[in-house]
Amino acid sequence: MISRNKELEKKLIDLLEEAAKKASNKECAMIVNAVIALYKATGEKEYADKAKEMLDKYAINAAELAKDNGISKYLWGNAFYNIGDYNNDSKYIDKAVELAACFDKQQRNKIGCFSSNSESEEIVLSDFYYTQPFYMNYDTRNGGKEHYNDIIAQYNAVSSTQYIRPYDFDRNNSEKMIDKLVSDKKLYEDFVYYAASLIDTMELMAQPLYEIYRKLQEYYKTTVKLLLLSKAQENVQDKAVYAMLSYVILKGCRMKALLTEKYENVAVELLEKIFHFINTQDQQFEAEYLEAAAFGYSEWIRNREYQDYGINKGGVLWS
Amino acid sequence: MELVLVTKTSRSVVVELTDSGKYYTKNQYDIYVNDKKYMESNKVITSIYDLKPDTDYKIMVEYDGEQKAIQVHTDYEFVTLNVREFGAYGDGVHDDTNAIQCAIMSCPPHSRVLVPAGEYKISSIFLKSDLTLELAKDAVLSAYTEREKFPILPGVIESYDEKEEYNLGSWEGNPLDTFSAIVCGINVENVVITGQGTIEGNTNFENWWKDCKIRNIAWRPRLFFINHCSNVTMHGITVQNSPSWTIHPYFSDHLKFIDVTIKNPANSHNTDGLDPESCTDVLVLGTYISVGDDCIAIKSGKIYMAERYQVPTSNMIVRQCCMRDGHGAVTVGSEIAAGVKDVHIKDCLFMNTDRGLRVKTRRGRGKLSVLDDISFEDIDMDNVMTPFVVNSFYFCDPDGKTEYVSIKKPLPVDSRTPSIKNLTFKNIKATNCHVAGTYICGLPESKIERLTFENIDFSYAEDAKSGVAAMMLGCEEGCKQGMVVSNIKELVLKNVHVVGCEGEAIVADNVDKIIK
Repeated sequence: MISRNKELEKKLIDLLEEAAKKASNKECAMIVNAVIALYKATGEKEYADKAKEMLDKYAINAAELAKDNGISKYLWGNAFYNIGDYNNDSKYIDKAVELAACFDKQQRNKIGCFSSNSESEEIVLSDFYYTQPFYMNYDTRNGGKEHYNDIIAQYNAVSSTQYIRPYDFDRNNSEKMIDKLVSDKKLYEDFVYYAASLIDTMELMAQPLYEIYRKLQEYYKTTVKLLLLSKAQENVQDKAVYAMLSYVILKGCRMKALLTEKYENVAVELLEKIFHFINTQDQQFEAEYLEAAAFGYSEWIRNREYQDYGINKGGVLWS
Repeated sequence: MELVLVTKTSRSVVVELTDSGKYYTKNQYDIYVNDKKYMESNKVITSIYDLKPDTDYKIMVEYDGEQKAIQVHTDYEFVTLNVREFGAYGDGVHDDTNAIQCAIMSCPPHSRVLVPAGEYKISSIFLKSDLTLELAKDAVLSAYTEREKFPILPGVIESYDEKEEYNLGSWEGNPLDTFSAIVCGINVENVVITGQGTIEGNTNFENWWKDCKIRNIAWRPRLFFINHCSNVTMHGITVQNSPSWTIHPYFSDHLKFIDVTIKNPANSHNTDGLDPESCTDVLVLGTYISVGDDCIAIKSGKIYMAERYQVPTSNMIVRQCCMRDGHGAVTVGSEIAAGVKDVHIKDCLFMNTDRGLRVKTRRGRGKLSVLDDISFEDIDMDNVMTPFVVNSFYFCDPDGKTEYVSIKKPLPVDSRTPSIKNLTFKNIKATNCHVAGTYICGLPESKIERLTFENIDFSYAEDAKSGVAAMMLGCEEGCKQGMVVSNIKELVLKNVHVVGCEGEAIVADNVDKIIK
């Protein structure tokens, strides 16, 4: 059973810092978010300082980001918010708001979902991970919750559209879907990041808009169930997606979106393998792998809050 | 003058003296028990305490030289469990939660748990079935305010097979994690809470009312919460300074609230008096309510609960009550996604509230949110800012100020559109109005079907204050407005007198038919 391990945390942060030096802008954003996740889980201010340092170093200013038609730029949004909160510095919050303004002009595909390709009729599930958690965070904090309906409409489109080839989300035909997940590693990866987008979005919304919250939860659970039924994770032990799945499940358990008793063990087994791998393999790890491992580890630490309702950490179970 | 028995226990009876007064009788009168003077009263509904069980009594009143009497036999009682014998101190220092809980759980049928005079510090106590809990005169259940002392009622616990769920906590119409109430009942039946004592919430702006819109561990507790309970009566007691809604019956039926006093400061946050939510067969009688929000707010949840369980609040009567100082005296809404029907308010007195009879709904409550067969009759109002308000654009929700909720042009009718069918206001006198006599605003795409005003008198205060009639975007501040009505199919105005308004007495917009 994993317990908190400061040496491991230090190693992870060193590896992430090293990976950032040659990472793409998108990967840098993920790395900063991963370090922030470690700070939020442990409360170690040193980690928050490191995240800020990396944010200042690697984040292009919001105006530059706005020129980019892609959607991975939105990964910086929640990093701005988190560092702004940590430092009580409105400058970062302003950057988040400035970046969020891009949503108004952001291209959408023909089904109405944010996309870098307006001609596409396909929904790329992993795209949701780049956009929706930040879109929700912005809308909850600064957007007057005007776009909640848009957010749930985009998720609804995934579950109902006929255009989602080959990602046919037919719950009555789950065996077909499971077969696809087993045979198509890219699809499997997209599903994992889609599930991550759902649970991250749920965390950042105002829960009293409960019908939306529950709809997201329903989509999240369906996705996780399909992933686990496929057992495809057994074939991707050295991949980032494997670590990301542990994050997705543990976070769902913490937020009571999944029954801890039924699902937690799968994620813990994944994490144990990941950290055995990191601790024993003397190799260069991909940034993506390290980020996902940090996310998973962070959720494992935070998941203990489930036991005491967060009372010993200032009072919030999640939010 | 008539005298009738309202209810009785082994130790008390409640009588009603009718002389056409509302809450207060027109004259003071004397009450005799077995020919010995017991008390004077000026209330229509009066409780008589300190009786013996299983005993015959003659209850007589003398009113303006006229006498009326009834015979009463008090209920059988097996034993009394005095909480002091269970280790409660009642000294305002010791934590008496466990001792009182022990007495409650030990109570056999046809018996009572007695809380004698004293201050009993408690966090949260839970009721059980077949229980009479009596708070004696000068007994105070005095709540702690440290949230760490309170248990949590999880909003939803998922079943192991992941097909069902168990809902315990509730916050503003959704199944969310909530601190357990100071007095709480879950799945219990046949409960009476009676006496002259008090449940004191001790809330102020340094504890529960501080940052009250932010969830902190869980949402704020109610003072009294019953969930899936049946045959529950609250009688005589005073409840005050509640952390949030004061009395919150939830998915419960056969409920009586008789001669209860509910008091919260006028500036306290969300301290509604009595909020039945998805309840059936509710009687509120002879109750005095003075609070910081709505005195009575009738509810049936938001759209998730409505679609899943489809339980409206129905068959409710409010009679002979006095309400003052709240935002609304009797409110229907805003969490009414499963609908409200067959609700009748009669013979009541409203004083100093922002609104008298208030309906608040909005787009997004859903197609199950149907309000029908709701009447307000024989009511006196004084110094009420706006006596009648129907607001279909209510904005006090996390998304209440979005364009979808507030836009005044018609939107397509869909699964999120609520509806209002038949509301009746009859025999109502409203003096010293301020902002408007009536402010009615239906949805343009789902007009109010029929609205009846009959025998209504409005008059305005000489020094009328200006204000906003309805909590909706676009409602401008006003003063001494007449009847402002919009988006109604059929408006019946019979014998309606608006005296002293400024401008037109009736300003109607998008009303299909007015019958005078």
